[in-house]
Amino acid sequence: MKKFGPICAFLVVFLVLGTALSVVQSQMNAIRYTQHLTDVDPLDNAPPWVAFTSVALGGFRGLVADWLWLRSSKMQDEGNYFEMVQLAEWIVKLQPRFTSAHSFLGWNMAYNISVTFTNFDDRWRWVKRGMELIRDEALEYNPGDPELFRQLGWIFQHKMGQEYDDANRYYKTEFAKEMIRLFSDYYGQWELLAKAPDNEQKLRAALGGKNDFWDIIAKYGYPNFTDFERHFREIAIIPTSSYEGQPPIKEELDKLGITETVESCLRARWMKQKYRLEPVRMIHLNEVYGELDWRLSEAHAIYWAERGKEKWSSEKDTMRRLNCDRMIFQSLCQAFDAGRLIYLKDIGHLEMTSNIKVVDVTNKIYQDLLEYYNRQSSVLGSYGGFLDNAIATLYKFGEKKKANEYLQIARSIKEFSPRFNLDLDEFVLRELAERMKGATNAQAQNTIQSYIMNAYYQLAIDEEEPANTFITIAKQLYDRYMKDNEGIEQRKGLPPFEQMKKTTLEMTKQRINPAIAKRLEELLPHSGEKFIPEAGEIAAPEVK
Amino acid sequence: MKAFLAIVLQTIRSAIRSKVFHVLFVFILLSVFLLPMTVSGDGTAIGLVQIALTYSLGIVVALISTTTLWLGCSLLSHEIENYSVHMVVVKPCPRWMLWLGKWCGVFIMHAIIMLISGGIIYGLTQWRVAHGDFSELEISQLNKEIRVGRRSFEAEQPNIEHEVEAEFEKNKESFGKDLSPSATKTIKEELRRRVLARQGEVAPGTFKVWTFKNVTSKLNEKLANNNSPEKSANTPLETGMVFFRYRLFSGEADSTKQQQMPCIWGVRDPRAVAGGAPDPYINSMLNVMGGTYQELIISSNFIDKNNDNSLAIRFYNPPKEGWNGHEPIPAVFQPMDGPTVLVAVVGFANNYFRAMLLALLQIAFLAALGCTVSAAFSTPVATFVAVAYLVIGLSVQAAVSAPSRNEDGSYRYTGVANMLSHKFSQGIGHIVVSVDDLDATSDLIKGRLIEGRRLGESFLYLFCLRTGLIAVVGIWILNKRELGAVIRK
Repeated sequence: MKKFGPICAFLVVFLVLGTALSVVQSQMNAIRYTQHLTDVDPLDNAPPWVAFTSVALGGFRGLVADWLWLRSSKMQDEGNYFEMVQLAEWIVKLQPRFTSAHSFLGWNMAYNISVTFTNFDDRWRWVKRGMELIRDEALEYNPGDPELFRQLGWIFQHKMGQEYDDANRYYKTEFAKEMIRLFSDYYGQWELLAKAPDNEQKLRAALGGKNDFWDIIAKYGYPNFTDFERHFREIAIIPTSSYEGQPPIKEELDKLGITETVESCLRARWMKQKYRLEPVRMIHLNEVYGELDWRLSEAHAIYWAERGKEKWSSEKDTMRRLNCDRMIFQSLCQAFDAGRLIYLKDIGHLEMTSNIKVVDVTNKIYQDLLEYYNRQSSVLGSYGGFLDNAIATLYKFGEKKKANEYLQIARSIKEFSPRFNLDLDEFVLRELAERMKGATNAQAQNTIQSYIMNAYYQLAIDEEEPANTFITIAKQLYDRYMKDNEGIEQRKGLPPFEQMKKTTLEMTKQRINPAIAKRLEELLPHSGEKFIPEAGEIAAPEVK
Repeated sequence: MKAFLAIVLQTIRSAIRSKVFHVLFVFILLSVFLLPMTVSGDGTAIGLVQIALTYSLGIVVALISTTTLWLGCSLLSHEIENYSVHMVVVKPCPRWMLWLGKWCGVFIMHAIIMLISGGIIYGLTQWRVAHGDFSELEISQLNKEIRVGRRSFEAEQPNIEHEVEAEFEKNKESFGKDLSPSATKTIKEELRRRVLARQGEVAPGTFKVWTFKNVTSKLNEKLANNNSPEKSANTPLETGMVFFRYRLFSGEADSTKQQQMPCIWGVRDPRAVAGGAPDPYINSMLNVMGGTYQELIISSNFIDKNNDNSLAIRFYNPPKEGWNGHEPIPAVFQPMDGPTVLVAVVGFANNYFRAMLLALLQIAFLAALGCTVSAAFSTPVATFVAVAYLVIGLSVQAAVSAPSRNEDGSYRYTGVANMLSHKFSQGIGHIVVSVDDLDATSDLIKGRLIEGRRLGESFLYLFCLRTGLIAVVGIWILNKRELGAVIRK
């Protein structure tokens, strides 16, 4: 007993002091926060070992992070990238508040490391790693940090959205596949997803407190909700016997009429937890900017830029707000050019078309920003480019009246050169002639689609000869563009011409007068080909 | 022999009783079991193996080295200080045997720990790969690139001396009359550098060919023969492959000004050569980021067995039309970057064992260093001296590689002082053993063969000669030291 006496005494003292400290510490933390005694807010969402290292290492964690940073630079110089993810993760954990460093590390992976690989799959892995570091790690500890939002948006808008990277079409294809897996049939049902229960308790309550769902998943061998959810995220659908080797859970849920509640809960949680996409914010952005295609990177760039902008606006940081505004209007321009996904299979078949619905909102955003930034030259220059493009694109897609309206708007802006003083036909003709020479992939795609669309319209009204002429012009433009971009097809190439004809035929049927569309359907019935695969048909990305 | 064994056993016993050893041993255990299971790479099988081995082996070897050094430094000095060594030296046991017994005890104990730890790390890493969510292709790639020992073959070097001479003769007059022999030598060295740099530069619209001779490997041939054409069509990495490793710079060899550039790489096809094709190269176009290391995978069928097992690879810098509107620039290959051809020669276990052998030599060296300084000094002083020696060894390595290099790989000195200090560092580097020289982890994780020659050189030069010298000094000090004059503190 004598031997254990001091140990027992020590344990008692330890427990008493520990309890007392715990009480005092929480009060001290509260005082720290309310009296603004520290420069930074307390760390949110930090796992225990991050919280522990932050406190235990004290000032030394900076030194450790510095050493890791130096090692990371050395490894990068030597081409040893395998450690970069782990080192970046540790740096973030050691310095969870140093968001500019996190932002740099993410950007470095997405930009500098990715381009050292010639294989597109490897490149995409590093772009994803960069995004994941910011989204999954850095934002976890700094949920409202605008610098992180801006950087994330930039990767979406510039790295994935623009065509500077040879692999940009691959990124777009893979990202669209991920988004189809994420949204599946719930794409566009944002209200439903916003209202969906976001945890197990709420799901139980939404199912009327009944255990049916849990009984079903237990019957098919899922020990709990977490395991079922993990499997759901792997296959991207509720297991159904329609797919080989899957249990008929969907069928059983259908019988009970609870599929929608369960699936919307699972998808909403996936959106929020993995991709940090809040359906409520998506609804708001769709209201502000029009129907954005959330399977494409532009919509996501706008999402993150908007979140950054909120913070910079409230802090009255005009310079940083301008960066976010630029990202928004550039993304809107991209969305206008190629903001609608129409065909998805692989990099060679990716096809988008213009989302002309966003033209008015883009114009309004530009005008508001011109006002806000005192007609700053960079905004003005970008606006001029947008108007050029808008007039030509609207004209090409048969929206002559709207194109003319935009020509008038352009003429009314005194800073613009007299290039807008030509009449509409002349202006568009000149634009098209200049444009095909150095056209972006999106512009070339739009131009060719517009000629094919005109051809189908002529065909629908039984004007076969003009229809053939339009098709011939479209094919000539296609061949010319492909020849000009020989050797860089993967970066700037167009999908096969025959595919473009098929997709444009369906687009034409949707856009023209129903009576004429019916005639067109009689002449050229739908082939039955599925242009965009369903969630369950896309394999889970191999990069975990 | 009985006395020697008794000293060895007694050393191991007292080592096991050391508190510092206990603490470090716990860390070793944690590192051995936790690190391979917890660190995460870049998500690929290759990344996982590379990071698991780098961290686990690196930390475990460092910890075992620390315990070796600590015990080496403390055991003998401690016995001298508490007079227990007197009980040994009064017996018919020569002091060289005492020193060797101590060294052997420390070495054997740590060698066993090292081999067991190495075995566990190997097993856990393999287990993690086997249970990871990796595709067949990834595993195949891992086996071809990392879980293997690849020998590097250098390209045939053109004889540049006649070109240097021609250049010298051509410009002789501009160098002035009556050149002294030393001035002639300096000029020729400069000309040699220029010729080498010029040879490494490939202007747009021109090409450069590297020929590698005697590219053979029994293992590679076996791999190629073991695979049916059907299988190799599905998984191209399953055939016998060789890897062409290179680094090119875009425009100039300044790492801050690098950009992506188009490259057309061609591999000479022996069948096309035999058929008399005008251009026997099979080309593929790539866009490569300047300044980065790249590896091309080439089928071993391209090795010309009728022509000294040679492999010819051509780099063609496309003319303006191939640059897609960008301004064409030359590609620069630095002699120090190779290029090299890597061919699988041994399996992973074999290469891993070779790395372990080098680690054992490191342990042997550290034990010798520790025993020597502890023969001369008290434990704290001995530890300080040993650590200082290691720091000098590591610093010398940094000092030797510090000066920037010319494009031909020679050092570029900023002045005489710079040159002298560098020569001094190189001199010290020949005497002092640096533990870096015995670290083979970086080669192991890249699947580079740890050559038998390197093992032999390390054993003879670093261990027998330099470590032997340290041992001789230690034995000499212990012989000469008046143990009776030591005063207990």
